[in-house]
Amino acid sequence: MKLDIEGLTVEYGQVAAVHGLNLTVGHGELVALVGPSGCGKTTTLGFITGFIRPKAGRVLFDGVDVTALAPQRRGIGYVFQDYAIYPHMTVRENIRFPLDAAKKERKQAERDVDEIAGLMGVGNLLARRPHQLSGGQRQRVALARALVKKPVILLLDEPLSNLDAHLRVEVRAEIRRLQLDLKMTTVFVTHDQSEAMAIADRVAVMSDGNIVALTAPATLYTRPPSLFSARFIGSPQINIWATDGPDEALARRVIQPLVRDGGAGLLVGVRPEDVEIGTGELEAVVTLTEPLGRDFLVHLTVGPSSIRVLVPAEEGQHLKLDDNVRMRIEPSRLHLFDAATGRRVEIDAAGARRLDESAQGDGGLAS
Amino acid sequence: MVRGAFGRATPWLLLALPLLLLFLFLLLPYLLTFFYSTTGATIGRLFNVKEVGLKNFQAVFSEDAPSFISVVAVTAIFTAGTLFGSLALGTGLALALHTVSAGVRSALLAIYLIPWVIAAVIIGYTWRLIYDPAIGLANSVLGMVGIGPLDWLTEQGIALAALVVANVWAGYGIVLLVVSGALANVPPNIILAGQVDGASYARIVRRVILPAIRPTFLLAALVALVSGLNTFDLIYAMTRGGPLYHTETMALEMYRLTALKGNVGQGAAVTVILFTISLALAVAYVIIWRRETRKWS
Amino acid sequence: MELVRLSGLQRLARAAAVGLALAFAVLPLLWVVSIAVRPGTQAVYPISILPTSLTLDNITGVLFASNGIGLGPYRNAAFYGLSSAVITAVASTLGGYALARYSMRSGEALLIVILALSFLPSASRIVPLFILTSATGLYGTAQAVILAYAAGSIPLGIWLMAGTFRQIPVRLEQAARIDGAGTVLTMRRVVLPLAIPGILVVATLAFIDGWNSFSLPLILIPKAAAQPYTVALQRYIQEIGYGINWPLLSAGSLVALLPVLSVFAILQRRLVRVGGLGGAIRG
Repeated sequence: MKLDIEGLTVEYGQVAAVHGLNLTVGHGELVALVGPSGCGKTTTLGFITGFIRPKAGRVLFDGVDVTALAPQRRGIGYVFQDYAIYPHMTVRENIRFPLDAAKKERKQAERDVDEIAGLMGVGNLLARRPHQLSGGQRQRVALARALVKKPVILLLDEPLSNLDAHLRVEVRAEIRRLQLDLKMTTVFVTHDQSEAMAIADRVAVMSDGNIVALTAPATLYTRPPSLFSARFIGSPQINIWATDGPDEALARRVIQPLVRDGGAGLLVGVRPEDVEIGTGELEAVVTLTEPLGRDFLVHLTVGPSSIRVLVPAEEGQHLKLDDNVRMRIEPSRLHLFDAATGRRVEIDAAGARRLDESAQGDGGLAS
Repeated sequence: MVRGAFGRATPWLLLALPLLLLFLFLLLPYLLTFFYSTTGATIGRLFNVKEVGLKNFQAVFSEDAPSFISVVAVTAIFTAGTLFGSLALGTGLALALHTVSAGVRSALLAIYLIPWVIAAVIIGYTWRLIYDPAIGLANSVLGMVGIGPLDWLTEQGIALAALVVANVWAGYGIVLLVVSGALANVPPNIILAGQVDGASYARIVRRVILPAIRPTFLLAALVALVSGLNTFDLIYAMTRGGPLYHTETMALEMYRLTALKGNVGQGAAVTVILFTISLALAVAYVIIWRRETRKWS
Repeated sequence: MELVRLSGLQRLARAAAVGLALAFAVLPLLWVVSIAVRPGTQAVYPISILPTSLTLDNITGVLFASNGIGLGPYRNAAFYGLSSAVITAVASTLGGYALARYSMRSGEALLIVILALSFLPSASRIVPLFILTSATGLYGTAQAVILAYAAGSIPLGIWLMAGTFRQIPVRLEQAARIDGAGTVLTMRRVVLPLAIPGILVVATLAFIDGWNSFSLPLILIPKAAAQPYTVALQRYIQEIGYGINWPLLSAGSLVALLPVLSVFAILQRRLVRVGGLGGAIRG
């Protein structure tokens, strides 16, 4: 089942606003909607389900306009952030509820419940009440309930955020495996960029009611199409310097090999792991070192500008406060953005600027 | 966010039945009363009534047996007595229970709350029995210490006080319940902090606990005030306003003028006065309640 | 753990206060019981604190003897109270749901007006309801009494139900829709089962109010056969002199107490929990 959202516009009210959003999710594809709270992710889900009435916009399932269809007629599977398990029903009754609502024959319904419960690993919990379940078990019950009626589309709203950190990684992998097996068209909403990167075929980065980047996870990381997505994806966060302003000296110096015109009106970004320490002509001073396990995050200053660098632990542990170090940034590792619009800028062989076309909308400095 | 089957009209369709009932049997009667208070209606003549302006109010004010001044005074004394009695007993008891364990407290609360669910008229009969000169508990107890016997409900000086005691018995449970609820919501840490600072229990009550429950206390006071003002069943069951109108309150006067004297216009006039005072207190209640819920939400 | 550490003297004072208050709360009712279960010959001056022999004659007398009020008045009170409880539960559930789930611009104002209405006690309704029922020809009918009771209980009922529904997450309703359930199924299988405790409390409070009502039936029901026990018991009181038949009146009161006290005992915990709100509103 292919999902299309066309021109979704929701005005600010009880929910976050969305401005003219377009999104297509292909059959069997998993698209992650990621962005900070208030960016309109949940509004978009609400529109797909039919709970939110938009000012404008259409939603199509396999090309059929379902915008006017009531939520209960859309055949969607949905896992809520807090799971929304019916507290007064047993696990079995919870999972069977969608089949009861569809007036499915009782024996067949029970067989379906047993089957999906087995698949989700909750077959031994069917007689229990929700309050007797752990967070992870509830999560599985919610997933089983969403999947038992073989939905046309699966929507997952922050399904992992109520789980412990170690469980989160485990369940994430399970969901992805299941989704691939069932070839289920899925929209996965999260505020956690690493979760989105890990699970999705494509990641849609949302900001201020629109999608500002929509690409495969790897591309999103290596060639972020907008300043906003560059900042949002990746931890520790990317270093950004403007060619005009306090960081001018450093910014212009690192892009010198690339551009001919001096680089006015550009923002220069480099990820902390893309900076080399120990060699090179830039001189920096260590202001803080933070051990992160495998790596050290080292804070440095170059003149008035500051920079975060990720270095392997064996190197990082020798660095001390106020050490003078040399460092070097490979020009091909730089990300350039237009300071006015925030869109990615590519420099061609002749040294001329070209705006990147894969970015949608604008994610300028304001965001 | 929830889509109703009938769009925007859905909540009003749901509200139709309750609002209709409230309008017909709560609001409309009051509106009619305002209208009838300016007419010469009697029990036998409720239609084609004559407009008399404010004559009913004048008649009520110039009534001499009982005089309106006396009715107002009795109402005021009865209400004030009920108010202070139930507030003092309810709050004092709540404070005493506040220091016992939660299990014991809820068991005791259940017993203290029994009068809350008993019909006011049955409470009236119960206390009338207690005060009975021949077989009442009151005289039996006083007799043991060599006092009495007293004619509780027929002695002019005692009857009103006896009624107040009965009404406090009927009403202190609610004050206790409400104040207990508020006390349970006082953060234990500020009480513990007070003790760490070396304050005595009496001082903690005065300086920490009572200020924290002040809004609830005010609301409880307003409830006690309005219910004291409007007490009818209990007084009717115990004295019917006697002896010689010494316990005749506005609520009883309203009934007497309408049902016994048959003068619907005058009864309505007294109702309008009582209603207006109650409404003013209700509005005060809502204002305080709103201010406090805003403060805490 | 005790919140406050009290001195021995303070403990003594607390025990005395709690004990005296218990005596004050319970002794009047025990006295009614003691008069109700002793033979009439022992209910005379000088009275003994404890009856020397027990009897059920007074109770059977009230209910079945020729000088009793019979079962009818209790049946009437139960009928009025239960009818009012049903109407109140239905109306409060509808209204409470509307106010809890739909954000209407006038919704909050409405809730506040309802709160103010619920604050007006029944005594001030006696004359207005007499006028209304007389003017509309409903005077003396059961419908008038029942609807008058219900109208008195609905404001608090709506308040409690709005609170009940607010505690049921909207998400559960949305989940039911997603699961394919329409309005009826969502209500029947998800919302109402979760609201049952609240509905039960609202119905119970309405029943108690109706069962206990005196002034409204006193003025609205002239026919003796339709009167509830609260009004019927007056026959044992002769205002002139001391002609009160205390054994029968006490027995009649005792019978009247049994239903409310048993309901209270069963639902005590729930009633006490809402009592904080309910009590603050009920006059």
